[in-house]
Amino acid sequence: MQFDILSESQAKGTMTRLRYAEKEAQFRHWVREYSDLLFHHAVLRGFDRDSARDLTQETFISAWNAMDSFEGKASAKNWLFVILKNKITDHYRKSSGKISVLLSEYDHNFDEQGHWAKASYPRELTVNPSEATDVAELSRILHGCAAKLNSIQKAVFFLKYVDELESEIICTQLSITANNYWTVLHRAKVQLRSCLQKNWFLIQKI
Amino acid sequence: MKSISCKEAVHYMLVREEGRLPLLKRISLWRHLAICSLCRTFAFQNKLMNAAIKQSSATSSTLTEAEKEKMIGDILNSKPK
Ligand SMILES: [Zn+2]
Repeated sequence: MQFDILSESQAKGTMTRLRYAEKEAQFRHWVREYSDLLFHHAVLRGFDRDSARDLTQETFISAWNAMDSFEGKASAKNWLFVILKNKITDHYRKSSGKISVLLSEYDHNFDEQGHWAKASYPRELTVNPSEATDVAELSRILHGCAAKLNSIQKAVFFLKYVDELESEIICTQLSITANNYWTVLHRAKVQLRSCLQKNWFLIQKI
Repeated sequence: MKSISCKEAVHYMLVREEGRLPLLKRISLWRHLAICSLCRTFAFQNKLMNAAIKQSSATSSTLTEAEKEKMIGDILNSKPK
């Protein structure tokens, strides 16, 4: 009798340990299999290497803590992406608080009549869109320029042009008004183009 | 019809990208682009940018094996709350 009870609880302990080992192995597999995809997703959305790695790690921390609730209805990959996207949205939303600072600044790219200010005149670039090296170079410069946008501009820009979300959805996600959305996007685009032009002429001179 | 400024033209271009610029504003934009080479340059480069941003940047965007193993170690060795 005594012996039976003991072995039963021992068996339970072994089961738990087994299940834990299985869970751990599963988790290791997820990190090895999916971390690059998650990391790449974050990098494409304007996060530098360190921030993208932190976001990836935070995603896996949440996944590890919630692993028991993952029932395998969605694929693990999709589940991890949902967690990451939520983290990115949280990150972006924190930045939308600073929007008033941005909007209170005068837009120096235009004069009072709304004409281009001399310093911001768009100049033609010697880019050939059908030339692969030109496009690659342009893309490299553009990513560098996008990294220099402030966080709310980055959020709007990447949600629109990389995630290709509708403006209403972006406004809701970031809790900003439509007017502010258009102003932020306007400034981001003008600033990006200026940065692109400056850097493009810089490399042409070398 | 009221003529628009360059600043407004840029705004119209961005709204037009979403396919929701009303006809009258579209006409104002065309008329502006017909006379303003600066905004034509902007419009052309704006399209270039939209295409280029979707291309992955040349900088490598993968984690090293060491970073992955450290990530696993950090998470598994920390006690969940
Ligand atoms: Zn103009």
